[in-house]
Amino acid sequence: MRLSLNEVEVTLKKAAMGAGYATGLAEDTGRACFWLAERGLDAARAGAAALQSPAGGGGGELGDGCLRFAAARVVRDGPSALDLLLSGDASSVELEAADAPLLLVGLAGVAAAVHGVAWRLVHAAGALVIGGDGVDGAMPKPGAMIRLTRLAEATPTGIAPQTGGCEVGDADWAAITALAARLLVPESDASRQAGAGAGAIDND
Amino acid sequence: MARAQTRTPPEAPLRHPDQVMRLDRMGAAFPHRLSFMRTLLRRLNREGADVTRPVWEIDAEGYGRAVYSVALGGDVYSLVAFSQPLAPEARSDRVIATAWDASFALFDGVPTPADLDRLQANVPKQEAGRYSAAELSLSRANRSVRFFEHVVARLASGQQPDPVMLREVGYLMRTTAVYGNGKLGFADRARIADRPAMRTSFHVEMLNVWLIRGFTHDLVDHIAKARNPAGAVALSAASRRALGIGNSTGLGLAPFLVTHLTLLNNWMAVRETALARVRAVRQADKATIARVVGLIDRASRHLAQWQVADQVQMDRIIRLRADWREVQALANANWLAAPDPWERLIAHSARWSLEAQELLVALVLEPYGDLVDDLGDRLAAGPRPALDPGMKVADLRALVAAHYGWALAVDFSDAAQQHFFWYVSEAKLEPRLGRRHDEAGAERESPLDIARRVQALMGDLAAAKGGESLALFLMRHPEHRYVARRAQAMADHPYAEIRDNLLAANCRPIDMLRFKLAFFGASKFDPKSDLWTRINMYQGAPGFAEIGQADADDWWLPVLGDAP
Repeated sequence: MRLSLNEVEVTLKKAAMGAGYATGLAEDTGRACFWLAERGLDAARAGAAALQSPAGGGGGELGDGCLRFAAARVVRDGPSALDLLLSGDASSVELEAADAPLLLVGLAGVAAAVHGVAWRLVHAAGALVIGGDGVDGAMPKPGAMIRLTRLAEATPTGIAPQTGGCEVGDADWAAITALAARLLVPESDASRQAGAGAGAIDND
Repeated sequence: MARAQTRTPPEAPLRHPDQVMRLDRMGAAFPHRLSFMRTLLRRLNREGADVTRPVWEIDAEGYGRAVYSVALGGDVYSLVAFSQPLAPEARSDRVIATAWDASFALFDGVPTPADLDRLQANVPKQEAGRYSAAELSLSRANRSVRFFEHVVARLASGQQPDPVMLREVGYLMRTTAVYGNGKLGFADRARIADRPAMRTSFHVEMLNVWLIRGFTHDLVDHIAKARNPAGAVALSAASRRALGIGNSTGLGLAPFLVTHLTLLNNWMAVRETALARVRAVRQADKATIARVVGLIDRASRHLAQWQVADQVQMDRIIRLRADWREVQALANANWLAAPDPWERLIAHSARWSLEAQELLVALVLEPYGDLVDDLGDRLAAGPRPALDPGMKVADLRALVAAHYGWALAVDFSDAAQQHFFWYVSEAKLEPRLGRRHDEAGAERESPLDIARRVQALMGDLAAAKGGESLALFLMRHPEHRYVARRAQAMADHPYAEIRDNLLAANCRPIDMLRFKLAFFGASKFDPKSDLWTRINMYQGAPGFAEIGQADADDWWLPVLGDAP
């Protein structure tokens, strides 16, 4: 089905919250998926993969300038990976068995656009450069071991963002909207009568 | 009167966010010349916009479809309107309604017959339909049943509407939602954000509503003519001016102000900067003084016509009328001829009610378009806040202390400070407000608990090393990422946060609704509870035929006459 980019962002944010992630991480997930969709990449697949991933991992460990995440969960670990590279606390980040590499690409793309930087992402099957406007190179597969570093200069890819919305897979979108629905509170008589605005019938 | 805009005009100090970002003051807001309806109509007026009606397929009962098109800023926008019968028991202004008297889409360009057929299959269903990137905004409206029929009957009998009824109601239809920005699959804001006419926030939605207003005028003329082809008259120009478009607004507007913090900041910064420029005027000329004295008188007559059933608001109006008599007594031509008239007037207003203070803020902007209208270009969102992960914990602590004193002062051990929780209902995604200690669902509450989150952040920041980076801190505490990003934004966006606890038992959501609606340009706020309000939009504004006339911008706080 076709969605607007705003629908992608808002729904992915809600889905991440519905999956139990903190609001700030959910915001980043939504923005990353917007960025992916704007570039013709499969934002719904990235989001669904990340948010359906089983709990795991144990947080990052920093040593010798390298931040390592075992059994990386990208919704939780991706923002920290990029944060520590931006702050200079780490010079490289390794994400082992990353559950949703495409979402990491989206997170990196947003960070590149906001901070005017670029990233190099290396994985077993190749490498890619991520700039604020797009990506260039081979995409990693789910479960890949990923090494992420910051490039010295921003590297524009020259890819123009697409407008007019994006196509998403029905199964992925159904999974995402089901997670988002976890935020909804069931209807009750009390909430119907006292919890909302606007009257029922008006004939003035 | 013309002033060069090549340099920034002098400014008095801006009012502090601790003063203006409080709910009680926001809930006393009035429309002003930088409100979105005003900025949109000035642009329409400047361009001499011509509204055409290429499709009018409406039957004698007023049912069918119509299209209105208008060129603005080099682009054509079309309102596609559908009017259909509605069973009385289905008529509701709430979000949970599923059918309406009329439904509308604002189309980017001129729709083809195929577009019209596609829209006819979806627009009347509103949220249950799907839309394309050619649709910019979606809306629906219900007739104000008795008054609608009254107007049709009077026109059919050759008479204008009864002036008393017209004053009491003031609109033929009420919109109950106006959607934009990519909802339900229609165009993302990026599609139109670079167009000069649509750069200002909510111009798309305000154009939609202005065209709907014109449709309602044409609709009653058409039905009356069908009833009595020989004897019916059309709405007079005065009647059309007096008939705005109603709106029922509930809680949906409130979370928007928390979610869109840079937009809230920019709106408020624009209004406060405009006020600061006017306050810095050392001497007012005679023409400006005469205009202000006239506007004070107009406001007095407007207030006399502002009657509501809600006792809280009516008490405020009564107090405001009394304060305004003092304003009239004080701010005569001699008093305003002395130096620093607006600075003195605003300073003097501290003794009056918040309603009077904020009405004066709106009033003093009115004659100074040449001084403040350029600020309208800043009424858009701009870049969203980004996290600076290199900031040190000590620096974030200082930022929080500087901008969130109001939040840190809340005593959350007092149950009254966590009385409410905000949530979204399964029933058609309607935003609602629950009582935490009486109702289920608090575990799913929406993140409008900014003060509580700020206190949690500050507690963990206090336990962290001051020289640690925020990146390392947030790796341990991802739960603070949301509010840390907000706190960092405050350095450049001091008006971004509502400085009150939105969970508190004394929180009145109606304050947030009124603030936002005033920024839209609405007036005649008519609260029906703390949770929703009726308003009138575009009352007194020029209609399609009046765009381009000399007085097309002079409709602030309209006064309705006795004989339209």
